Amino acid sequence: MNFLKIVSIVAFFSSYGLSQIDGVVYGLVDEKKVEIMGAEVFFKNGRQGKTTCDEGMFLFEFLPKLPDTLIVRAMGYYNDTIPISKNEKQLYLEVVLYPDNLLEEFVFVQKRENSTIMRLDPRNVEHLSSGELRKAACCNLSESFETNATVDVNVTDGISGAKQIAMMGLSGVYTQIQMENIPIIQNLNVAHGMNSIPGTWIESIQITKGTGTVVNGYESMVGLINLEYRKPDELEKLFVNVYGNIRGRAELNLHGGKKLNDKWSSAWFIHGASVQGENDRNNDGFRDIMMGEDLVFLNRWKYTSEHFFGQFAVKGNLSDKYGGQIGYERGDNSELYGVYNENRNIEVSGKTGFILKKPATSIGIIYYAKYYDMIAQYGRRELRAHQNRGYINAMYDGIIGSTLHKIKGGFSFVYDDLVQKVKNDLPAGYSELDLIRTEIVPGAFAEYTYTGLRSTLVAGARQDYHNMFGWQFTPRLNYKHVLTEKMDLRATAGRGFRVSNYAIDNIGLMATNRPWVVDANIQPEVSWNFGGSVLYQFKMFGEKALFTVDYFHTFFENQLIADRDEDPTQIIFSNLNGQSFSNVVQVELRFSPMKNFEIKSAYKYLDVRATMGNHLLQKMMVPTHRGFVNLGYTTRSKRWEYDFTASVFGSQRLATVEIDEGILSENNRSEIFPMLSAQITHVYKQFDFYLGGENLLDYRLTNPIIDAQNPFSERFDATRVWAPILGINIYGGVRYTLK
Amino acid sequence: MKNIINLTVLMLLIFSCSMSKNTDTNKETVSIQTNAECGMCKEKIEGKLNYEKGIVFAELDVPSKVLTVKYKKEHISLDQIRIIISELGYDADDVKANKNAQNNLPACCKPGGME
Repeated sequence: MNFLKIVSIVAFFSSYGLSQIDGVVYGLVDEKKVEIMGAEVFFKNGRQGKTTCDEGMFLFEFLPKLPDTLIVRAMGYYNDTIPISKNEKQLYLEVVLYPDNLLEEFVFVQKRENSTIMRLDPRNVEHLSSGELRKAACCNLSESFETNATVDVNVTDGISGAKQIAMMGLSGVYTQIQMENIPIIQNLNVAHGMNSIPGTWIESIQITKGTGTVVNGYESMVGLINLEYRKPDELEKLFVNVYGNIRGRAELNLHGGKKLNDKWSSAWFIHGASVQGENDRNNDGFRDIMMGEDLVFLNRWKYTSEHFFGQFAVKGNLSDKYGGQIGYERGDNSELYGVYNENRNIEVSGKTGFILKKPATSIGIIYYAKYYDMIAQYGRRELRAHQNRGYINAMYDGIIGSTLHKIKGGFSFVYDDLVQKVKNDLPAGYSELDLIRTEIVPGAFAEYTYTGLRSTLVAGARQDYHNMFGWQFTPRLNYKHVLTEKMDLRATAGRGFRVSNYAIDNIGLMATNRPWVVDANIQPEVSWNFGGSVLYQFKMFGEKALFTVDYFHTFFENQLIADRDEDPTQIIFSNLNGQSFSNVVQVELRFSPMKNFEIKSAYKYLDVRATMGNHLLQKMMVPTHRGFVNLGYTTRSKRWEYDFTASVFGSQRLATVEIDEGILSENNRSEIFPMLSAQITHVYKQFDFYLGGENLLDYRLTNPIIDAQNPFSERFDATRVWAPILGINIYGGVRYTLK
Repeated sequence: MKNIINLTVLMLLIFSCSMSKNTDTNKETVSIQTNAECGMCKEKIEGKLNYEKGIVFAELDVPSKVLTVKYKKEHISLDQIRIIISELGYDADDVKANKNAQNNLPACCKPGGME
């Protein structure tokens, strides 16, 4: 039990004669003590518990019957137990917890650093706290990445204006998104799933570059984004956020939490959004953004006791949106070109954990079930789809001998029933495309972690049996070496696997009247990702500064290719026949020229290519160069926050289109364009007010839709959208917190 | 390009306004010696004073226990600021902490609590 140790117990007799026990909980991070916020401290028999405050402090003013044992617990650390004898009525404790170094749960966030790179983690993980998420107040998860250089946000097509993320120049479908380590976005919700995750619900985000861990499946191919929702036992009684913008979008976000007793807590969340403004700034007769409503709710419960831990959640989402030509209404079958999106979705998830008697060992089980139903209509092209998914993952987490060697192992099972039906009533003729499948995938995984003084190695592998595609072996490796006190080196390698969906993964390509030609034998996508990074922490202007360089290479053994080059009059979906790869270099510098003023700057070079029509070509809609600067200033009273972001997008390759009858476009490169956004927040005791602007230079495409006058013609195409359509947007809002 | 320049100038203006040293004689910056012990005390004192009328900012340096306060003389006086700190349970220069408030502080915030 050498890892459970109390560095010092300092008895301290308060001069007031009260009986009380208090102290500070620290965690050992890179051989330094860091206060842990939100650690649980409770008496084993006395059924009394506290949570540590920001500085890791706790206080018991009323003590249970002594003797008793005090248990100190924090996620990401080993528990500690401290026997309290009968006479120790006034104690001051300093408890140091040792990290469990497996690091799926990064609960401790150092104060005031809104975005940090996790130095402790062997993987390349960037942590965004709620402070960072406040910087771009609108609206859902995809916007949360706008003050971040690693994740890019793109518009799928010129009619729906739906936003999707990308990492390493590769579509968001290759990034696994999980809610508190439960994978939540796969198959159908890759298209609009981000819209059902409101920014105000999120406590923090961890972005891992590379394939990450094997524990949560084989689908993270280039990255892993983990979302920590706000926790029931730490939530304010009531939180209200009202948001509005000049484009006619209004939003209401509410949440609240309650501790029912020392074990149970619960929380509820509601998000409602509505767009009623009709926007057509380029006067092409098409709405620039979709109108309609979104409603999302979540109810979650948490149970904590000494040996058992459980979380349960129900989430539902209803969304109805319509866009396209002005005058089009929902369900209208007139001669107008309409876009209609309907999503109905309910998810139930649970997590239970048992802490075993053997030190540092536990068993955790994750359950997840989803029902998803959607309709996406683009003119006379329609996709109807539904999905039923069930997932269970049971994992043992323990040590071999000492905490130098940690092991995780377990089983998972996926059942996924998916129906996608596409009807095309195009100038080229009527066609129907069906993609119907049931996936049943049992799997087993193991992960070993070695934690030395200077280096950490995580080696994992999983073997799954896919009922349609046979055995899949997924090995993954992460290594960290602490070169000096200030410098870390990281390396990662791993395999990823996913079954593609040509319609959902490319939903933006429905916004053209070019026919789709689909290969009858589409195989799953298989990729390998390799990467390395250097992190250097130093002092600049007397404040902390951080410099990172990373390089990632991804190549595909097989990929679903949407080929628009072989024949510009059609889109061919096929297996990869040749090469497909991505090389990405990102350089980032963060520093503070003065107190309370932080500058983040980054440059990214993206070389993403794939074989299309027998030629190795640059991937469409990916800028080769991308620059980013974010300035954040908080006044000394902490009551005013200023935030400013500037981005530059380099030239992108575009699809060849028929710009006029029989004439193909010759200039298939986009312009270089800048994007600026800024936000000011004023903080009162219970209220925050914010005012912000996006795309402040009002950069927009004047003619995003080809042949917009004839939406049912062969040439009609709204997929060549490489910059914003809407232009400048100004928004404002209020947050109210009742503690 | 002109847009970019205009906007940069605007942003700089906003930043410089909020950061400029105020030479206004109605405002004064003072240092108050407290006996605050820890980060929790820091939040408590700053969290109270920064929302009081007349306070421009209040910042506590935990190691030296010195609180720097900038305030507008027509709205609040130095003595009033010291009384607010005393009522939170801390000494402020010669003004001793309110005993009741001090007794109600968590032990780590009491005098000697971090030793």
